[in-house]
Amino acid sequence: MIDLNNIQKYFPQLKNGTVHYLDSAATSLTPVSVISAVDEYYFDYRANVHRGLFKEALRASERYEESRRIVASFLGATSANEVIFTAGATDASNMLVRMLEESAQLEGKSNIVTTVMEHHSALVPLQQLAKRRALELRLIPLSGFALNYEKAEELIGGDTAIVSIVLASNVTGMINDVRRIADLAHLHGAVVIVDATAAVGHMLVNVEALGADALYFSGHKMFATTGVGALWAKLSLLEKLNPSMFGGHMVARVGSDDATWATIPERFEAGTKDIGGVIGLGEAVNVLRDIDVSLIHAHTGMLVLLLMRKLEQIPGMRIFADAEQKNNAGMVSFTADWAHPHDIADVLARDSVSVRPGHHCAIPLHTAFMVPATTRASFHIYNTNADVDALIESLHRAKAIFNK
Amino acid sequence: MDPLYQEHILEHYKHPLNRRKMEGYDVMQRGENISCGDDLILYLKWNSDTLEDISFEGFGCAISQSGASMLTEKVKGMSRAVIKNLTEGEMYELYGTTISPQREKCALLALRTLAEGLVNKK
Repeated sequence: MIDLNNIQKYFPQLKNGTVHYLDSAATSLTPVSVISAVDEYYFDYRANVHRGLFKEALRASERYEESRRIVASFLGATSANEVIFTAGATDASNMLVRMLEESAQLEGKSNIVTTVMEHHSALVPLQQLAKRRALELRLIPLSGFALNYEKAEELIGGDTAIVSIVLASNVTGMINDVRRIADLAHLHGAVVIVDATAAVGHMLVNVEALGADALYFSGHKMFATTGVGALWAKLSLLEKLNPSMFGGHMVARVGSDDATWATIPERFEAGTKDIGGVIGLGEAVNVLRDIDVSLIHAHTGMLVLLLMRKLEQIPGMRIFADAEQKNNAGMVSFTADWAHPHDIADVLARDSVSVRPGHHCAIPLHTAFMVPATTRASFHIYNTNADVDALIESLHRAKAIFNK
Repeated sequence: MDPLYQEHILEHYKHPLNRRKMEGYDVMQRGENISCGDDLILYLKWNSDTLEDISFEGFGCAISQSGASMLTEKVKGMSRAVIKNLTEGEMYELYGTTISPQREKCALLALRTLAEGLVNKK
């Protein structure tokens, strides 16, 4: 049972109590039990998974496959075989796009629809696919901080091959009505891809409720280590897809000039994966479940509201976030007309307030806002009102430095 | 006083020198740090091998913009050969404070843009 009143004690990096870590949207902190799970693998039973008959290999394989079941159940998947371990969201996104391209999924279609809100890891692989296959790439524009759903209805049609939509923006935290877009896409026979990277661990993510055909995320934004993530896809879709990565483990028979593929999901897991990381990912999901993701969403939602109300009191601030909890996965981006985001983040860093300046790998969204960069404060379960206060106090210090 | 944002840096940021559009320039050179959103245009006017005038326009953080102000002031009237030999160390000297690795790109933007402008003929 997790002690929610002292949640910080589970995150070793917070042990001295002086750091205000407000950069969880870039990467979350790691709970000690995840570090231990990874450690245990390397200390006690390091071995490659599958096939080995010695006891360490069996234990590693069991834990690896247990993580698959844990992740599948966390996402509400119907089968553990629908979960493919990847190196992270970028790996998953690139892989999936290639898998769709290598199959018959694009035939007779002329466009791909995505949104201006996408992270580059979702957008750029689609751009390149569109260029290779001479498909039109259509971006659903914004309406305020949300997507323009009326426009989406115009953009998605019978000639649409893929609809790729981010569940929560990694800049504004905006939670999109993926179901609405997915229903529309399915009406026209398009494949629905969901980038859940900024959402997982911050809100309930259920693949069935979302109406997704495929969904991916990184482990490191949800308490796991860096270099691991997952791609989920419906079995009925996976069965139609060819692999895009080739090598060991994913094959059945190999002749001198061709090969046949292993069963799903091995077919899509070429080579040796980050075994320790996968085991840690399973433990990360266990921690999230113990805490309860809905509670994390409620907690970060209150911090978002508190921060926004305090930012509004400071002259010259422009806030890029929606205060409604149902519309925000736990972050606030902002600019000030008296200092550049980099200068703000630099002053804040010296007060041990860890925020992130820049375009957050979402240049088209910043272009839509007509700003080159923002400063982002992002929350997780371990953040407190004191973190918000420290940020605000430090912002006042920055303002005193830069105000003309 | 703030260790990075010292008085002369802030003064150059808030009241930059040579921040203006130039008419009749010989070279217009743009430089940017895309990841931070620092953006600069340098205008150079040569009198044979002497930099007769230099100005800049742009927007960005206090470090990049104050650097453009300080650098343009320093190099005005210098010869092409002397400007060509300007080092990153000399740029940091203008700041007179420690620039962290994360801010190096900001601090060196004006110098790098100027170096590109030296080889640019238009």
